[in-house]
Amino acid sequence: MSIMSYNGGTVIAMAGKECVCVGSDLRIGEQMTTIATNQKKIYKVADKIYLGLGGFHSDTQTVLNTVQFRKSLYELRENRKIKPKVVATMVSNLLYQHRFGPYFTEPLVAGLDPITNEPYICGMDTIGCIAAPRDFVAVGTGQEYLLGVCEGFWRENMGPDELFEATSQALLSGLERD
Amino acid sequence: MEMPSLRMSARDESSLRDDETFAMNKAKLMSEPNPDRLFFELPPRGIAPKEFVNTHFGPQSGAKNLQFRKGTTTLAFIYEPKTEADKGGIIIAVDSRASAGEYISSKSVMKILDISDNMVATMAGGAADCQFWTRIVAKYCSLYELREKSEITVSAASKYFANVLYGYRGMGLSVGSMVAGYDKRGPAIFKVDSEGTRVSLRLCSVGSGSLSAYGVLDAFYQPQMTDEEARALGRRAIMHATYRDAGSGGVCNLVHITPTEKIRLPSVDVSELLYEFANEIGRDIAYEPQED
Repeated sequence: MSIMSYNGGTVIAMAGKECVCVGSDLRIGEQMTTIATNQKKIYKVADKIYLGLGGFHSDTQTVLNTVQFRKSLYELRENRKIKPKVVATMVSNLLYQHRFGPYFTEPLVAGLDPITNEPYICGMDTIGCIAAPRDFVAVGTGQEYLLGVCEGFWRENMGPDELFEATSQALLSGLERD
Repeated sequence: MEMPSLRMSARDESSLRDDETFAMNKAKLMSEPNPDRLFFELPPRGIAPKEFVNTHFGPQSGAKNLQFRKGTTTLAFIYEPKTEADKGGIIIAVDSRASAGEYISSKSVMKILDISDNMVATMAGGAADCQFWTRIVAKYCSLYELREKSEITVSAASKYFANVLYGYRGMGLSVGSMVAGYDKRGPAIFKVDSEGTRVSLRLCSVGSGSLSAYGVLDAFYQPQMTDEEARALGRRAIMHATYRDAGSGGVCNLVHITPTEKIRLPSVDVSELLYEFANEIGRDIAYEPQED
């Protein structure tokens, strides 16, 4: 079994009109055995920015702690709120620094610009390549199944309630097969 | 007794030069396969079957869609009736998930296959292997009954199955089946394996989720139970196994074999079983999100 599917887990994010929705499953396992069913994979890094981390759980915790630390330093130094695009670049650089001994985690950044409330979502591979589409991203073991389902559910300019419905239905359908 | 045979590949016989052998091969290839003589093409000389199967169909294989569908929970147990109203017999319970690596290739596999009117076989391991060989055993049982004019015993059917599998030992078959049924000697469960194992058991579980199922079965099994208790025990064991094992899930299929009939009970989704269990013990299984 590959290292990326050792613990298991999937994260999805969708963008709407001045809103984003992030969702994840709650299972953590060791290969086939389920250890717990209340482990989320999305963490708040700023008031309106969330970081989702799929992949090997130990590395996700390390990356999360490093990013939270670096974000605090940034806000102290710059004396302003961090933007989601900057968080993404920060994570990307952290991952690429370990190009030849990577962190086995696929991060996903989703948030709103602190001032303009413009939505931003992006997904990354294990060495930090940013892919920032305008509609939806998914990372983790159920990535392929979710992307297909999201394609069916997503529409332009969805409001918060619609977006929530779409994200949760997509996540539930994808979970049937992973 | 007809044993399926293995023959060397036609390519090894320099067939294309000789007219006579060419005609013979043409007849063999162009006509319907004879069901009485099973013919499996062996891989070309020099390739060992088990290594070949492991490289291409095993867990290290590059092609996910070629991986065997493994990961399952099947269980069976014999019990006596507790009251007059109960029938007793054998309970066989299975899940319905087929997984190819991490992908769930099917949520609704029927893992209890009928061999004869009073016997079933469960499927665990390679799905195709179990389905094919169970049909061969079912065919043998029908022929036996016609010849001998009496029902075949579970012992004999499982012995035939075990002998066939022993013949293919080392070739990479993956079968972990339980043959269970009620015959003239009483109830019987035989666990049959692709390694050639054949054991008679009163309580048995096979598959990746069997450890959890054994835990529940060993804790709550009583030799004398009512029908309802026995069915509930079977379902509860499957539910616990599907909760902890990622290779098991879907619905729980239950078959109850009594001295007189074979009852197939309706499927129940394992999530429903989980909610039922949580209600019973008063556990709150809903997730409370924490603010961070």
